[in-house]
Amino acid sequence: MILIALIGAHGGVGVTTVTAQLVTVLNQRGLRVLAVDLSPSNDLRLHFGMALEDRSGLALQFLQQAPWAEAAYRGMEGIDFVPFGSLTLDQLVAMDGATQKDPQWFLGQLKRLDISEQSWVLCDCSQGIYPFQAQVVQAADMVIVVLNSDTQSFVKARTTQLFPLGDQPAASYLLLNQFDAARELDRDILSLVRLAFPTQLIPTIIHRDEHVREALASKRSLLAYASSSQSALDFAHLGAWLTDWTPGQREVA
Amino acid sequence: MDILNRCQLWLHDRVHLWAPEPSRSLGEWLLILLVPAQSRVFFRRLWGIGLPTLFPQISRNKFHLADPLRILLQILWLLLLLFRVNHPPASFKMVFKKFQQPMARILRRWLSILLPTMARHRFFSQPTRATHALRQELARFLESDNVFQRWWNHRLVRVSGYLLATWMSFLCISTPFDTLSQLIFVMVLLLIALLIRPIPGAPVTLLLTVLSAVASTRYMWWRISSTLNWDESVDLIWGMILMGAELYTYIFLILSYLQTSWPLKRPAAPISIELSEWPTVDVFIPTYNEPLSVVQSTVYAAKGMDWPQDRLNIYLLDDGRRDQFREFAESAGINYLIRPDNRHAKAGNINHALPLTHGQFIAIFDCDHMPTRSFLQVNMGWFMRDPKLGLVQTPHHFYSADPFERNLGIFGKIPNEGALFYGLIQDGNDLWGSAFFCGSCAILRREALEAVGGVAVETVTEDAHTSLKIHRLGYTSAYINIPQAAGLATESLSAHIGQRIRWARGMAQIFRLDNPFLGKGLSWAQRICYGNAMLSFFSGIPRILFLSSPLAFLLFHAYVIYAPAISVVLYVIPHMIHATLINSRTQSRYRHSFWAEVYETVLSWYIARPTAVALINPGKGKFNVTAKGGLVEQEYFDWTISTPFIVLILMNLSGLVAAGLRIAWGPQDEIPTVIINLFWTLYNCLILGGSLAIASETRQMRRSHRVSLTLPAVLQLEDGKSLHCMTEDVSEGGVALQLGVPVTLAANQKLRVSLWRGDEEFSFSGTVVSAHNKRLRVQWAFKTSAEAAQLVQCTFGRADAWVSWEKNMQHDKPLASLGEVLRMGGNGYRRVFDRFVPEQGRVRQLWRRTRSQADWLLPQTPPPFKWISP
Repeated sequence: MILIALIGAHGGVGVTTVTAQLVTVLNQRGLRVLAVDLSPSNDLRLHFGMALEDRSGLALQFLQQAPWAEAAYRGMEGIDFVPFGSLTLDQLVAMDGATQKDPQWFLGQLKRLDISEQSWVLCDCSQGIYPFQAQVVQAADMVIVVLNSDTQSFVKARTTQLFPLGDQPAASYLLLNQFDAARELDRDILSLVRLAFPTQLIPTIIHRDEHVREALASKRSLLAYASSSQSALDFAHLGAWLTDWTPGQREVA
Repeated sequence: MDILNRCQLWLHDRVHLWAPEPSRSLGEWLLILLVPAQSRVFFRRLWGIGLPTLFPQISRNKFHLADPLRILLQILWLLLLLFRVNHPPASFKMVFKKFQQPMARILRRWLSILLPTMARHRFFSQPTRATHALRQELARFLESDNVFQRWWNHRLVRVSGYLLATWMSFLCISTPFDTLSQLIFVMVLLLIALLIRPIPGAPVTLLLTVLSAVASTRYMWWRISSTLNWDESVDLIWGMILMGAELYTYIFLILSYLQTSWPLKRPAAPISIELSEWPTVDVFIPTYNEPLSVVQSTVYAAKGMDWPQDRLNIYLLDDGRRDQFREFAESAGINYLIRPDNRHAKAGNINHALPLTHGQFIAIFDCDHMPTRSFLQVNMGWFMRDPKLGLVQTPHHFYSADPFERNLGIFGKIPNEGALFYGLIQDGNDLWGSAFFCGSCAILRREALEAVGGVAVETVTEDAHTSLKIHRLGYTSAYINIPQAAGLATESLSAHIGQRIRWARGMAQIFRLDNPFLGKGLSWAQRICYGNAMLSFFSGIPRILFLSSPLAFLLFHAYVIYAPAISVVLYVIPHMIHATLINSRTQSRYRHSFWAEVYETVLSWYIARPTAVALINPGKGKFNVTAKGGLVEQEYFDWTISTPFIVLILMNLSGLVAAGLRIAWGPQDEIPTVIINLFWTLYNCLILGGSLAIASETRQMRRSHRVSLTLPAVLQLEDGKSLHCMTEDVSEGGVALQLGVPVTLAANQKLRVSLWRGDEEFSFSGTVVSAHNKRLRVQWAFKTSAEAAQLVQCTFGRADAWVSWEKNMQHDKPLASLGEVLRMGGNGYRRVFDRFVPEQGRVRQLWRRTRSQADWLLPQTPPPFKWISP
């Protein structure tokens, strides 16, 4: 099992979208993939066509002491995913506290899913500030930090706040999302990130593309909605890069 | 069976093979009766189709008196097709192939024993082009202590070997033969050449060169010793003149063999020193009257070169002293230099800048030559290795079509005029340490340039003269045959010829003022390389003589070659075949067989006079700037340029008439001579026709040339959507894109296109010109000059921009090339006819009628057939 945690440098950089697209691409490349949503906003399910009124998810299962497997779904294009579930504020606080007490919670749950060796598990960890998200980050074979080409992202990337809870993960990479070559600042930030993180920046840059939003609105995957869009190509390249990556190569942050 | 029955059967047999049609015309009956049953069956089995399809032009309803003739012609035509279907490869070739391979194997074995021994010698120890296998064999032999080698190392053996070879070549060249012996000798030489031709590698190239040299020398020997008529003064004068021309060609040929015997193919050398110690480089971009748009791109590309920015200074040397250029230079952040006068043109311009600048190296680019970003890094390495290296030259690559290419429609398919020089000759020169400076796309060591007192100003080809001076001082030169800069070709034929006139005049001036064969400081090989470069420009007068000498016999009955026709054939044909074989082998990618005739013929008249004048009075003549970046706005026929050719054509046509008269009414025993001269004249007519085709200038559509480049790009639409696409061609004016999906975009809609320069991505604003299905044409709408600069750096400044340029170039096939050149000559006449004979005039009508009647009568090829094996 290859566990990949995706976290955002700050809010709104597009972690959920990247996770959804990456899972789709890997699935299309014929790999066994599972997407796990660990973001309390519970948005990943939207990318896979889950019904809105369905509130179930792994967090609710946890609070009810029930196994995850019952919360797993098979969504659009045959992609397996586990939604987070819609929690009330009290429930979230309870979950926060409970997972803090049990640092092995996530790995234990994952083991119970009985996932095969060759499978890829991608976790959307939003900004990695909750203890259950930090558990994933620490356990992951690879952490992809999603950036935007803006000042906040760069500052975050330069300071140590990327992983606010716990130790540095095994291998961490930076992914630049929503890049627009027409904007001078975007080009400058990209150059700066390249200089600062020559080995960590993933060579594929995801372009800002209206097709991504439209694909979600039309409830289709990006590849099915606009296969010749630039973003679809970028995600395909990203998928190829990731498939090529083996847990052996570790780039320590 | 009675006779009637038999007749009926016969008729039935004939009829039932025919398509079952109830009513038949007389024409059809005729067909049935004329084409024998057997062959009808045969045709049917061959093509699986019926006779009506085989005889498409025969009407089924109407009989025409000429039908029997048409059927007969068609049958002949079908039989011809049949022959081609049944025996696709010519039978002779098949037989020859059968013998060729085992023979080649045996020869290869011999060579592999003999050649390594020679290869031990210093001369051959240069990087070889031999195939891998041969090279390995070579290496094995070099290591092994073989007996030949020990012998060869002995001085006595070596010297006597050379003496023996000389003596034998002398025998080959000078032994007089009767016709039969000469025939046998020629056939043996030819057979050897054809047998070893398929073996790759430089040693075989050298062997073929030797064969060609022997054939040509034998021809010249025979010409001098036994073809001059010393008794007739008219014949003697004509004969001497023609022989002088042939002697010139012969000397040039032999020297060229030496010059290009082993092209060095020098690779780029890595820069071996620390980044902090890289030397300073000044980039000079001299300009005089070129438009700003041309210069802009060059400056942007030069700014994009990968070199430490604090050690790269770019200077725009403006002899036009234009304010617009000064402002541009300021905005682009480069230096701008002017001088009060324009003395010595480009050379003076550079010399003026020399004391004002201080870089250790000087890179010079003509103002239209855009360098790629890798230019300096690829070329500077050799300077670090060799402190005496005075200059590095790279090829001049042109991304627009020169007038030859444009008017003949051969751009990108057949190597252009300059390809031979930059592809082969310079690489050949480099082996002998005499690669020339060509004025642009080169780097000079300041020390060397200052040692010779700056760029030479005594002649109008300042570049070659400067490098000659540099070589005389003991500096070396290098040639790196990787196109890393590209420029504009001359746009009109007159401008092109003007440029060549300048080169010819300048080379003749150097030949007079600073003759490479004389003076100090050069090796004998350098003298030959320089001398031959100059000799090549004296080809004008000999070429005109070749174009007119058959007339001496046909019109004036002068025996210029005083020999029986059969001897002429037996001596001159091998000379030509061997030269073509070896040239086609070495020049395959740079000059196709027989194209030199076309290029030289067009220039001949124009370089004849300036070279002659410059030889007599080298002080005359001035530097003329080659016009570039202009536009041939209308189709026209260049009468001024083509007048001499038209005169020559008329002379040759009169020669053809005379030949006809001589065959009809002349003495019997002269007919073979007449026929030889007739063929020569016909050949001349067709070659001259080629120059007519070149002189009819076709319209040049746009000012900025579209360069085909396939690069990934992103199309950003106004609504925020981004589409992946590939560029098809790029120019300073716009871009053509190939998308993955059809797009519907209105004209003039705004959009952006982004391109990459390495890792960096840049976005360019543009508007839609047209969108058809998946193809989109965009016109740039740049708001800032930075965008223009980035575009140049993303496209023409890429390191790989011109590397794969030749991939669509056809390889030379001598016979096909001959056909192409002759066909093009014919085309020249047709173009002139089309242009000058009025569309509605009587001549055209007559022509059309003749053609349609000929079409009616002549056989037609049946539609595609399927093969049914009998």
